[in-house]
Amino acid sequence: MNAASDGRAPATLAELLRRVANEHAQRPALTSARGDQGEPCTYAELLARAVAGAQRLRSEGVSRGESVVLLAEGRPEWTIALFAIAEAGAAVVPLPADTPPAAVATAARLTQARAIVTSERSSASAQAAQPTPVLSLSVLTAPRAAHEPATAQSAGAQPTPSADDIAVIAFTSGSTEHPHAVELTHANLLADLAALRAVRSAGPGDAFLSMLPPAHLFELTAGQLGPLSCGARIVFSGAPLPNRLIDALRDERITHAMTVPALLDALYHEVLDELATAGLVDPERRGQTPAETARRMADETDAAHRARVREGVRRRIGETFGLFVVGGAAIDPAWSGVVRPLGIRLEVGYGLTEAAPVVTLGVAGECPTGSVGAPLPGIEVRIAEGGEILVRGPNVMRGYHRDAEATRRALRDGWLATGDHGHLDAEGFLFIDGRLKEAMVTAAGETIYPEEIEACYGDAAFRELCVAGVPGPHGNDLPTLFVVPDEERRGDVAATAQRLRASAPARLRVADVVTRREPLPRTASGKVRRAALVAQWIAEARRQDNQDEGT
Amino acid sequence: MNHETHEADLRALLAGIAGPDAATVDLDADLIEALGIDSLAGLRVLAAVEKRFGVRFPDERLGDFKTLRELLDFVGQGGKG
Repeated sequence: MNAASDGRAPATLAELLRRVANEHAQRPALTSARGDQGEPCTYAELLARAVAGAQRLRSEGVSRGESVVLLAEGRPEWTIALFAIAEAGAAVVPLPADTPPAAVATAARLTQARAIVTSERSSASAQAAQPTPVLSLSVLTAPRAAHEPATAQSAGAQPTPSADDIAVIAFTSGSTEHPHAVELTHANLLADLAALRAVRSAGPGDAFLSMLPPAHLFELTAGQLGPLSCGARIVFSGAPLPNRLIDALRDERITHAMTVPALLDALYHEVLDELATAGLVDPERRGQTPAETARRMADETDAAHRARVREGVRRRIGETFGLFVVGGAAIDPAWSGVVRPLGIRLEVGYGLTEAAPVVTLGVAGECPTGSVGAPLPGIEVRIAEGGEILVRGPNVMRGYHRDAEATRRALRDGWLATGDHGHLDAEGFLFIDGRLKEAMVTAAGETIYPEEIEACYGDAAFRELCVAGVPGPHGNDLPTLFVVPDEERRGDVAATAQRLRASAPARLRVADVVTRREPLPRTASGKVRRAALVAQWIAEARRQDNQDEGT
Repeated sequence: MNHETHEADLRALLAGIAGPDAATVDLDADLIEALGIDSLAGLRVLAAVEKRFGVRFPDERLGDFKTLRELLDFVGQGGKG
């Protein structure tokens, strides 16, 4: 069967895979950094293993319209499993490898998952979701064994998924009490992919370093489907230790990488540290901020020294690397002054899972300072009367999974209400002014709901407590615990908070604890007004600073 | 190199990332907790240990290296712990 391009865009992920496998058959598609998993998986092999995996899923009873949880870290098998599930006509429910057992169980239950596909590392969490059957990722994605019948032909007998079938059900938080599961169709994902490809190109010679969990839509669409749709190679980094990421950039001849502000910061410190060790920069400057580095680089008049630093950086990161796309949270505009002189482009953008996910994109240093770029072709952005950013386009989700009420609130007259505040300038560049929703985004780009964290801090020593996001240095939110102590119970409030913090899962540990005597500000119905609370706290902190300066 | 040298090296390396508290932090304290660093700074610590001692932490066991003692044991066994 020849699935060569007929000029029509692919309608489903399975069709996309057939097309690229035909076009790039023997090119490498997926590999691990350091090559400790053997030869790269080629495009032809990716298709063969996805088809074999789909057959195994069908023999487990998975059929079109059902869903399968994929609980694993980024690795070649993750991507093979994604396509195996799509090939079987089912929806993928991607969960990061470190998802806590209770959240896995909730996701499996809510999506009525037919199976959980898991790597060895996450198998203990998967077992918690019994009675959902657990399948091994390595078994599912293994090359077809000699005794297994080939099914490329019989696959045609299966009902073919259509563009409007659900391809992915993505949880936007790990909360068990407030799960938000976004339904994205094949059409949604492929529309966002096509919009990205309309403005940015890559080709078979390119290599993308995958350092973010592919369960996050930014990595899934831009970091996985993006390179695969144009014949490029994906290199999985394994654990994102900055030294290993930098090694991979050089050794794997990486050209592109999707990242988040906190990882960008870690990579920067790694390189700065090595330059200091090599005597190319003053060791005193190891800890300097990107803004300081950008300023020094701009002020550096000694062309020879500038060239030596550039050469030192290139020796470390390799000659091929040229593009970071930063998602998850806003970045300091100073970054472009750090990377541009090195010949590296930095792309910024805005997106959300509900929009599959990329909405805007821009090159830092070329689009206006502080903006997140312009809407991708075919995607409309407008600002509602109260300042909320609205998005419309073929990439916008069809709704939240089994939550008509939440869907009605989010989708109004075809426009997606993002919950973010912003404005557009005269040229159509988008600026983010703040978040309306109470969900917080960490520096690593993860969404956390205050209620998830609050559940870890209940104690009789507190009369009232609340968690809210205080603006952090990377455009992120610092989850902060506000407590009002119970006056009748003497005790060390700070020590109690620290004890609770230590026993909370790492991702739910607050960045700071604030004790206050006044009751928390509440609405008439008793709900804590988190935004007002944070505003009060910031005003109070400023007042204190001014007093300190005055004394 | 003996254990004490390793310990002094590790504390110096930690201090470069997490500040002077690293000099006195208890051998069995959870480093992220005791030094008030975030999980990414934790990754930077592991990266620095890998480079300094030429070891490689197994991906699936990164969560097992929380304390100075656990790091010392791994380094002491030449990264085979």
